[in-house]
Amino acid sequence: MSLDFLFILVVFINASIGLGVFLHNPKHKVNQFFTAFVIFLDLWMVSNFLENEPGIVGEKNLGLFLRLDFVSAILAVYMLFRFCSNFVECIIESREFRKYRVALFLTVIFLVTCSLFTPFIFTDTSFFEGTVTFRNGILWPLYALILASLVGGGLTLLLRERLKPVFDEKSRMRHQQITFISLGVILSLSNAIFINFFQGFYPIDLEISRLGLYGMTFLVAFTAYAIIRHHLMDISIIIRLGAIYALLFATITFLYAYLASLVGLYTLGSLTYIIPSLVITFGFIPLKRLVETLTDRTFFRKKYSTETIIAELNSIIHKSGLNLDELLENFNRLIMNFIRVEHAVILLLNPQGEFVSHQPILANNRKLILGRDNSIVEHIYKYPESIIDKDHMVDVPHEKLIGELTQLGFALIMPIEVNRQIMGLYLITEKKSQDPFTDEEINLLRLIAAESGASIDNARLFNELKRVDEVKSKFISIISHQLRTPLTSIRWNLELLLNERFDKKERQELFHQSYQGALNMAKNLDDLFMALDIEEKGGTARLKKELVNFHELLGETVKEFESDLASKKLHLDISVPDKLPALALDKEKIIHVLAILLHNAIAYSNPVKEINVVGYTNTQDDGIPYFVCAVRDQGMGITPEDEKNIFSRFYRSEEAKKHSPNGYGLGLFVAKYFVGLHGGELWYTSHGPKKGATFSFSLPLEQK
Amino acid sequence: MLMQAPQKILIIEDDEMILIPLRTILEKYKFDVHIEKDGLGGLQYAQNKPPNIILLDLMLPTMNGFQILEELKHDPHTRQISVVVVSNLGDAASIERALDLGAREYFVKSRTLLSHIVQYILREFPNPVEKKA
Repeated sequence: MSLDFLFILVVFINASIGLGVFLHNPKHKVNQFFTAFVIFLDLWMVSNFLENEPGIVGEKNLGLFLRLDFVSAILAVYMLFRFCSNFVECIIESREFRKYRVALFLTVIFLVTCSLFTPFIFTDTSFFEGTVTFRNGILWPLYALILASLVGGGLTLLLRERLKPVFDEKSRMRHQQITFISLGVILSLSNAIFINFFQGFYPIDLEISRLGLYGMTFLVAFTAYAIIRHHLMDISIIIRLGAIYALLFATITFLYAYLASLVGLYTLGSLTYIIPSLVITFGFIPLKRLVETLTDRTFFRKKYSTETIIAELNSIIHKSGLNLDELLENFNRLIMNFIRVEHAVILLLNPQGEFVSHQPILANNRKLILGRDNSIVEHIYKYPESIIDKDHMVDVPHEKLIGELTQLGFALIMPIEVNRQIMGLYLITEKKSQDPFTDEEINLLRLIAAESGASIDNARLFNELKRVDEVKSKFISIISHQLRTPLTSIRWNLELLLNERFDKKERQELFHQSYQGALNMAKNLDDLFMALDIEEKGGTARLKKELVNFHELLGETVKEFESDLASKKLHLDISVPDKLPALALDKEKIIHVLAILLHNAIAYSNPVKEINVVGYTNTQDDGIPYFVCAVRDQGMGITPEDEKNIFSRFYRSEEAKKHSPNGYGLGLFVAKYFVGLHGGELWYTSHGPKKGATFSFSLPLEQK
Repeated sequence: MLMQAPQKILIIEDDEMILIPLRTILEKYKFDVHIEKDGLGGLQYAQNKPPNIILLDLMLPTMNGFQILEELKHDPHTRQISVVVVSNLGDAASIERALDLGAREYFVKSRTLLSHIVQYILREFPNPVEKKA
């Protein structure tokens, strides 16, 4: 009787663990096969038990349970094999091996059919001295071979994975998991198969032969140990589910028995069974909920609830307020604490439509940027409701997406929306346990994303305002600094004219200098206000187009630089075709652009070098002709660091500061804007550090 | 009448607009003016042909004024040259730093009349040529 109790306990524990593992992540194949394995294992045990109990099932049914014994045995080991091959991510599970998997499955189904309906596997069933006996059928060797191969195969896969070298923390943990599972498989299966194989040859006491099958619990126990010790699956959830179902089972049994005996007191015939059944049927769901709450309250006080999360979120928003850095850090920490992930990162949308991490998170201190063309970003825009989850999107169309995600080192991406506009992304790494995310956790993440969005957006706007404010301060400091030099020049020249005596020629030179200083101030102010206009309002300048001869325009611009060229002994080489159509453009603005390019080429060239100005016309792919002007220098060139910022306002490269410390980094910013107004583009080609660079701009030729 | 060589002034300044009035007035007072438009060139000139006075800008290409001052004051050959800073930088930290490094005087361009600079030079470094024998 004690062994019978042990039997029920083993079956029940197995079932609970199997169910727990399945519910933990129903979409994951490892979980699916593990659960299927445990279910067939239970069936195997149950039928193995019942085939020897004529008192329970009746003597004529013993044969049926023997058949079920054989069926569930082969199915259990098949599921075990697939669990192993999925667990080690064996090549067998790839798409190319599909036909082999189908063949194996059909073989197993064939053996199942034979066991159920034919005498080929075993025959001549009889009940003798309290044990069921049979003779091996013609296909018995095949059955035994397949059974042994599946077990051996699964074990080999595990051991092979175990022998692979350890290369990181994850693989080390995997090794330990496999050790435990393999140990469980070896102990339990060898035990069971040994007894099943040899009971045909040597009579063994029934209780002992049954113990053989109970030995399967080794596997379950060892896998459970691997789970507890190394988080193969999230143990807290399995324990929780196990506890819930155990309590539920007990409560229902008790309730049913109690009600039946209660109703039985009034002897209402068949109603004795119907009334309790009805009560149980309608009461099941509320009962389950009650049991869940009870277990959660008793054992899982710390388990996250919506209320706790919202309270945490509010406290973060209250505490961090408009401090974006702190806010993001606290939200990330909240996620890391509640879902126990290694790392969480928030990317925010910038005006260029890219998602950029607020802090540098990549190697060499770079920020992570996902551009518009990134397939993850594309997917998010296409399905803003969706969450990209490595483990829940295993189907083929998402292979590329998941590949990209894995490459970034994250397991889940979720959009942050404010007023139905995506303004950021949550990027979350794998859980510390390496488990997939549960539905509950995903819901939790959705909640956090939804609740945190508005406050992140507010802080971001505040940050943006602060930045604009900083730009203005910088603008003022640059104005004051940048206007000083020409102002000093004007003052000093006029001072000389007032206080000293000069001859006519000298006087003229001093007047000319004052005038130049005033022009210079006016130009600097224009540039600064233009930059501020572009910065604040996206640029409000209008074009005043006229037909212009480019040769004349170029000549006019170059004249301004003659003295600069001469003082650095630079040679300017111009190559523009004679026959150019007149260009419709805003003369002042294009002179401005050319002047900036020439000024830079001269300022950043070492003496005695050459500067080339090349002009040519070309045709776009869509047939629209355009004109290109390129200014090439042999100066300091562009470093990779400069490339990102070269067109940003106030940006000056380290090299540039060395060459010309008084510039203020607005030239290219404004020039790019002017060219853009014309529908053209401004770009550069770097020939390498110290080898110079070419800055070119294109202007579409208007067709008449 | 004893004819002595005039005081030799090196101006290290990259801005043409500032150079012209400076040079004009100093030459008018018969100083021997030499001009270098970048930091390194200025330092090398000072080392090769040490002048009596250097008018030094601070924000310069290739090498800034502070570095030049440091180099000059380290080198026994150039240590005795009087360095007068004439710069746009008007913050206390820059002024203190330059004076600590051994600048003899510091003028902030925007706050200074040209005549003040000239008066200072005429007073501190009188040209022997000006003296009547």
